[in-house]
Amino acid sequence: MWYFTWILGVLLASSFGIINVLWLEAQEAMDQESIILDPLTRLPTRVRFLEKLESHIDEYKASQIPFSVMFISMDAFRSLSQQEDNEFVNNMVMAIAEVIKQNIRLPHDFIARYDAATFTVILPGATASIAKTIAERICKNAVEQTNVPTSDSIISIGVAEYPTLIAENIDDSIQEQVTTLLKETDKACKDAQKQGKNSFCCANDEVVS
Amino acid sequence: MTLDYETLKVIWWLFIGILFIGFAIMDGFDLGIGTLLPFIGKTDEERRVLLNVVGPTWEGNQVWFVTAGGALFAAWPQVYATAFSGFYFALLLILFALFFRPVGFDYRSKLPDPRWRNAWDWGLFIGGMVPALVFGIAFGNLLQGVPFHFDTDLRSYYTGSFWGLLNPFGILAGLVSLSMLIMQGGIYLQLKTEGVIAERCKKAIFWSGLIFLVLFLLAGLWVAYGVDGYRIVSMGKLDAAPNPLGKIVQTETGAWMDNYNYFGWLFMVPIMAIVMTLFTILLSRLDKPGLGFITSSLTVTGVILTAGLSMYPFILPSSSAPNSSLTIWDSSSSYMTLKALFWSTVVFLPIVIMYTSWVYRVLRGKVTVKKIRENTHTAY
Repeated sequence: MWYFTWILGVLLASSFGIINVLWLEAQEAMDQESIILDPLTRLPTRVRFLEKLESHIDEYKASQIPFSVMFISMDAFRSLSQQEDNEFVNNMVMAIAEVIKQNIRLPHDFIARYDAATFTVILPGATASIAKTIAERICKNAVEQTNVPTSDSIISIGVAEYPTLIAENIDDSIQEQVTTLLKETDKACKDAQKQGKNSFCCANDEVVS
Repeated sequence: MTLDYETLKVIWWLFIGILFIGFAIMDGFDLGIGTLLPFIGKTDEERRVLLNVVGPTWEGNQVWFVTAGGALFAAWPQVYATAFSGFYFALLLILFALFFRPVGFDYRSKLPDPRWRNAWDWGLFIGGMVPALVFGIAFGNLLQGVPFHFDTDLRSYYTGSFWGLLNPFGILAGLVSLSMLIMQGGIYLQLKTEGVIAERCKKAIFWSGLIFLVLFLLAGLWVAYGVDGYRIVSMGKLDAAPNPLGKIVQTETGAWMDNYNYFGWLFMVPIMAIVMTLFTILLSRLDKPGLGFITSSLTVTGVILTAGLSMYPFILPSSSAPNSSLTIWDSSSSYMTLKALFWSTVVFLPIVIMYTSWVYRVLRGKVTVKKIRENTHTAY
């Protein structure tokens, strides 16, 4: 009868294994549920973006894999939100979000609605060169695919590559690095805004349009 | 030559290629013999001859596979992680099929009951045929790309299923592998046996060689004109730390022929595989199985190199997110790991080759029915 002990042991071990896997899956599903999403675009918000950014900076120490960050300012939102009705503005925001989603590298890239008029994207593994190619694509397609009735710029994009951008501050704390990176990307975005005409600008180099 | 990071990445592509070729040559012949067992061995004693041809060495041969898996883990961890979780059920199938081998070899002849022995012979057939087929199917799926991607945290996710691997091109590649290893097994069996068994081997080599040639050519045409190949259009620094998302990859039918179109002399490799198969058939007919085993091994080398050179530098292309494809540049271990592995290989590989050669020297000579009768209690 000794083999009953073995069978019982194997069954118990299998049961614990299965319970463990189910528990982990349930936990992951609950984590996903608890992420606060932007009610309009159903994209993650600023808090989740900052968590992700911190985690990528932290991971870099071990993996040495660079990544890029993108600030996408909806210029049209800023100019038209006072003139047009809410439905028009909402549709425009959703259309721009859709263009961004279609042109970034889903499922690798992480997109969030940073604030009312800004989307942010983290592009894991992307060098500035890849990020610029993607930014160029988004700028081009924003004009062709969103049908926003404005002769002004629809979007402006600021791009920055980590860690090359903050090589001098690499020993700073993660929080400080996040602040520096966001400041530089925002600055690049503002430089692109100054250029107008759906431009993008890389914090690592000069303005491109 | 300086052992910089870029060079080491290429060297490790060669090393792992050599390990897989070594596995296909050495374990290939005993998988082939396992597949031939119920057909070439008509009587119990003949089947015992076949078992005793590979019985003393099959475990050693299988270590090539273990070593290749270990080297994959050490040198290309991303590939190991993605392939072993993606091909989980396929690998389990191979593993369960391989379970029949140690038990079959050791217990098959312990009882005289013909039903017992016959059942184990079919078990050994499964243990030989299934891995030979599934390895080929896996290779066929590599050429087509495997559905996986890296998520926002750079974790690899396999999105395919086991049944998805059993697509027409995958099955064709599986049959190429199976027929090739049957030929490899047949020629080794002819080398180690005599009389009626050796005569039956000739027939098996002829038909498996012929089928292999037709299927190999068909697979080649399919790759050139029907399978979407992968091409890197933008890549970061080759000596940088591995970054699986640092490149842009595009797919296009016929892109797997890029390396052959760029370096025309590479066509010598598939041509070598074809010519060596014809030589193997011929040498088998001329009762020169020793030379035939060399030409058959060159066929195996040619076939694996043909696929490897076509895919270079890709190792595991992704069909669902081509930018996630793994290449030698972005899935290798760190510089220090590759360097340490390189020197241990340089030291230990010659030792392994030396003792393997010594084992085969000790076990040289033919296995005959007479020898089985004389050693009926000690033989497999």
